[in-house]
Amino acid sequence: MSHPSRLTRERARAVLAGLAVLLVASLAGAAMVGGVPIDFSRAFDFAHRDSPDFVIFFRSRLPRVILGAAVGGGLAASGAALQALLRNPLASPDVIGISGGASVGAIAVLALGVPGPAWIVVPGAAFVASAATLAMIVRLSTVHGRLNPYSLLLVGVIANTIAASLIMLVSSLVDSLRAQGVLIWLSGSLAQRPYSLVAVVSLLCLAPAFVLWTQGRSLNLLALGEEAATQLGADVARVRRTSFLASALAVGAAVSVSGVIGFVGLIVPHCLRLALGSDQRLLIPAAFLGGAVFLVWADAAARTLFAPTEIPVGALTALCGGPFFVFLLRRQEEGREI
Amino acid sequence: MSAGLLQLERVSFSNRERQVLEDISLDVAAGERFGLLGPTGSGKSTLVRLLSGVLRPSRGSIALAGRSLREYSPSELARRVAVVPQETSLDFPFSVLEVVLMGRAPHLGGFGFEGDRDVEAAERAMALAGVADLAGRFFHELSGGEKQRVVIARALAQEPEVLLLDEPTTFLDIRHVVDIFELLCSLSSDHGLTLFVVLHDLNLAALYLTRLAFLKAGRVVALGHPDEVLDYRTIREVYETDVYVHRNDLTGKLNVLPLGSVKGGGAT
Repeated sequence: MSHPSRLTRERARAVLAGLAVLLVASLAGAAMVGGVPIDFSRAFDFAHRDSPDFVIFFRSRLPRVILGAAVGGGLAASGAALQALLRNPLASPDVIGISGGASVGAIAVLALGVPGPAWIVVPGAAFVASAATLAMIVRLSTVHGRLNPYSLLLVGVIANTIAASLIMLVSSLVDSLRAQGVLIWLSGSLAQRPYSLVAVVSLLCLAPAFVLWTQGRSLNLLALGEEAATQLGADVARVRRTSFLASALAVGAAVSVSGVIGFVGLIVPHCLRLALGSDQRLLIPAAFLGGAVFLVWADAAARTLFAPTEIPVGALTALCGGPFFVFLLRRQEEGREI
Repeated sequence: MSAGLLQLERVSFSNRERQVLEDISLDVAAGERFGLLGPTGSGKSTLVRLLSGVLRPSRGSIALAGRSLREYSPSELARRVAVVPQETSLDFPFSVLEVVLMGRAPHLGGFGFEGDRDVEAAERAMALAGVADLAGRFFHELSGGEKQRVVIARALAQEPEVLLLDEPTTFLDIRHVVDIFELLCSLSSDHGLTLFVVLHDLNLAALYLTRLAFLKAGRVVALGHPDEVLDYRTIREVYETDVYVHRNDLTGKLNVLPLGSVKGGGAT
C-alpha cells in the first residue's frame, strides 16, 4: 500500500480530525448497543433521570465506553512508541511482557489488601511494576550494547509466563473471596467502573500518549539506529527514558483498571502504519484515537455477541490478535516488509 | 596550514577491553578531501564516532571550527557535521523524501513539521545526489547504490560543513563507487564541503583524495599527500602485505597492486 511521500501538518490535522470525529461517533454509537436495548429519546430525557434507559446509558454504558476508549488509546499509542523504541514491529505492551508485569503489581495490591484508596494504589502499583518489567526486559534482551529483536520476544514470553505463575501463586494463597475478585479482574473487563476511576485512568492514558507524541520526530530518527539518530542531533538517552516511562505509565494505568487486554497495541499501530505511513508524529496520536475506536467496538461486541452473556473483551482481542501476530511473524521471517 | 576546521589534539580512546586509539593528532582544513586508511580493527570507525559526537575521547581534545566538540549540543553538531555510514537499514517503511527530510531534524524545533525551506533543502540535496526521481519510492525497496545516494542526500540536507563517510562504497559495484566519489568530489570543489573518508581501497584514495593518514593499531603511522604516503614500504608496514606501486599514465595518480606470493618489492 502506498501513502503520500511525506507527512505535512495539514495532512496530520485532517487525519486526526477525521479519527476524532469517528471516535466521538463510536462512543455515542457503542453506548447505545448492549444486552438490553435502550430508547434514544428516553436515554437523553434529562427530566426523568431515574428512567431505566437513562440509568443504563449514563451510569452503566457511558463510563464503560469512555474507559474502553482511554484504555485502547493508551495501549495502542504505547504500542506504536515501543515498536519504534525497540526497533521491532512485533513489540507491543502485552507481547513483550509489560502488561503481564503490570498485572502482577495490580494483583499484589488487590489480593494483599494494601491500605489506601484503590484508585491510586492499584494504578500506582501497576505503573511501578510495568516500569520495572520494561527496564528488566530491555536490559535482558540487550546483547553487546544492542537490543536483539528475537531475545526481546523470548524474554517477553518468559516474563509473561513468570507473571502468570506469580498471579496463580498469589491467588491460591489468599482467601477465596479475594481470589474471586482477582479472577474477575484478570479476564480483562471494562464493566462497572465509577466515573472517578474512569477520569483518573483516562488522564493517565491520555497524558503519556501526549508525551509520546512530543517525542515523535526523535522516534522517527531511531528507525535509522541509535547511532545515526545521535548523529542527526537526537538526545537518544533522553528520548528513550521519556518514552519508556510514558509507555509504562499508560500501560500500568490501562492494566490496573481492565486487566490484560492483549494485542490492541500490536494490531492498531500496524494497520495504521500501512494506511498512513511510518511517521510517528502522526502515527502516535492516530494510534491513540484508532485504538480507542477499536476497543470501544471490541467491547461492544463482547457484550452483545452472546447476549445476555458477556464475554471478556480481553479474550476477544486475544482471539483476533494471536493469529494476527503469527501472520506478522511469518511475514517477517520470510523477509517481507511488515 | 593554519588552524584547521577539524583539529584533533593527542586524542586517545579506550573502551572496556582495550586501547582503541592512541595519541592521534590531526588537522583537517576546510575543503580538504581527507582519507583515513588502515587495516580492519585499526580504529578508523571509532575515530568517525568520536568526530560525530557519538563517543567522547578518553584523553585529548577534538575541536570543530576552533570550539571543543564538548561545547556543541547534539543538534548544533549535526548542523555542521553529517555522517554517511557503510550501510543503512530502516526498520519501518519510510519514503525516500521522508528519509532525506530526517536530515533536516537538527534544524527543526522539538515538535516541528518541516517548512518550505526544509523541503527546498531536501529537494536540492536530492537533485545533487541524483535521487530526485526516487522521492516517492520506499527506501527499503531501493538497490544498494540508490540507498547510499539517498543517505548522502540526507547528509547534504543537513547542510553540513564536514561530511564523515565510513567506507561508503564497500557494498557497491564499481560503477556506483565511481558515481559516488565523483559526486563527493564535485561537492567538495563546488560547495567547499570538507570530506573525511574512511576507506579500504587504496586506489580510490589515490584517485580522489587530497591527503591521507594511515592508522595502525590505533596510531597514525603515516600522514601526507597520496604521492608521499602510498609507498610500498609504508603499505608493507601498515598492512603486512607486499604491493607494487606505480603511476597510472591515464590518471597521473598512483596505483597499488598486491603482489601475492611473488616477492621482490616495488618501486614508485
